[in-house]
Amino acid sequence: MANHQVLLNGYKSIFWKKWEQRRARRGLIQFFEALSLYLRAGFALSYSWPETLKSLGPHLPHLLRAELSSQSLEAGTEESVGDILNRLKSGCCIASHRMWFGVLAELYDSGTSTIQAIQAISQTLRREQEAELETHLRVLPLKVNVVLMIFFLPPTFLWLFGPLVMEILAQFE
Amino acid sequence: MNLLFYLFFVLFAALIASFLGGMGASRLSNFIARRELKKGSRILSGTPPLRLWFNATLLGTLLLGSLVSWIWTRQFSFGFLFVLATPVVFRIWVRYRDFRDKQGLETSALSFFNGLLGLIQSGKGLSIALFDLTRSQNSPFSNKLKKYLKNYEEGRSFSLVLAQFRKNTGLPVVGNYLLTLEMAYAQGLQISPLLESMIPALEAEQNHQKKIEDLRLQMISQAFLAFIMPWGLAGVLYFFNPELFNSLAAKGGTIFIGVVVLLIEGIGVWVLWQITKFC
Repeated sequence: MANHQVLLNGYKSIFWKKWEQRRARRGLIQFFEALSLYLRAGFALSYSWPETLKSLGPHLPHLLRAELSSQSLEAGTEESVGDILNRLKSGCCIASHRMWFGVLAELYDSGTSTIQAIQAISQTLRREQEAELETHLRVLPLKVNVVLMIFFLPPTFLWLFGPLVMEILAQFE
Repeated sequence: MNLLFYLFFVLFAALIASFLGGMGASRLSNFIARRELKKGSRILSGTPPLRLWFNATLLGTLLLGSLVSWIWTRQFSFGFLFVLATPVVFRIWVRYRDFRDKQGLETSALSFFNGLLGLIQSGKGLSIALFDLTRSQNSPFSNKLKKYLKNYEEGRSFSLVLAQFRKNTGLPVVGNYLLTLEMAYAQGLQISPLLESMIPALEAEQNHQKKIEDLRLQMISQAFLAFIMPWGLAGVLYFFNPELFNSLAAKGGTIFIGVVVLLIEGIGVWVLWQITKFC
């Protein structure tokens, strides 16, 4: 692997994955909130799911949109909402969200109302996002100070000592 | 023979490398020039205040560039090079202005939706409630929507007007909620329960956004101070020890140090931007 690819992959694994997960969580919150609106109005989950996805689709992160969409099965048919939930239960891209889809799949299979569960999930996800933001805010001053010291202090020293070093070097020539 | 072959090989390789490098550089400069020209023509064909601001930025950059050029090289002529930076500076400013406008719209949307909920709960339909609210409320969101609602009076469908408003404003957070509202209106669903669940969610989302923006603003101010510190020091050196500064400038040391400082600071700004990003 070329050096720049190693660096790029390292950068992606440090920042990209984290941002991607947060974006996916944010998209999921919006999706569940919009879905709960449909359910509150009295529509069934099987109708509300694709409709919500259709309307919110362009605004959702690409990764999440692909996960939530119905995929073609071998027999040439499309997945039902039950199939989507079962797929996400075992193979959602963000492992921590699999549990939520498992709960929804069980509720959907048993024919129980899912609206309260969906609202609870969206609230929990929002709280998770808030908690992560709090952590980010708490750690950030330290990170910023380190960056300021690494990248902005040496240039100051460069103006301070650079001319003197150059004068000394000139005397040796 | 071997030496001759080696010389020809080096010459040939250098020729190809310079050709490819030149071609790459010309394509890159062409791409940048085209992009800047396109953006610049859009700005200049825009509203008169925008053109005025563009000209003011041009003049400001020229003056600042001339001052920097005189301090650095004792010549004013290099200041004209700074004029090339005007489209970039102006675009950043226009983008910031758009961002502020959108932020104003997003913030005022919350009070607008609260008012809308009150009117709908009192028994009014969505379209009438929106008209009443835009007439009575004086906020960025209300004023913007008022302009679009004129299209409804001219005979366009209400869903189309709402969709146009949502697409043209391009609000990242409120846009999703407006979309849900459009969906509910188009399918004849009840708006009131929708707004009741939307408002707390919107409030939480806005608080979240505000926290991130406040944080970035603090970081930007810190980074700005850290960025100008070395240049302030260079100024101190110029004013209080002109002999040392001039001897350094005569050897090309000021240009070398200046470029290295800019490079390190540029990397620092990029790293700072990356670590402050939340999602």
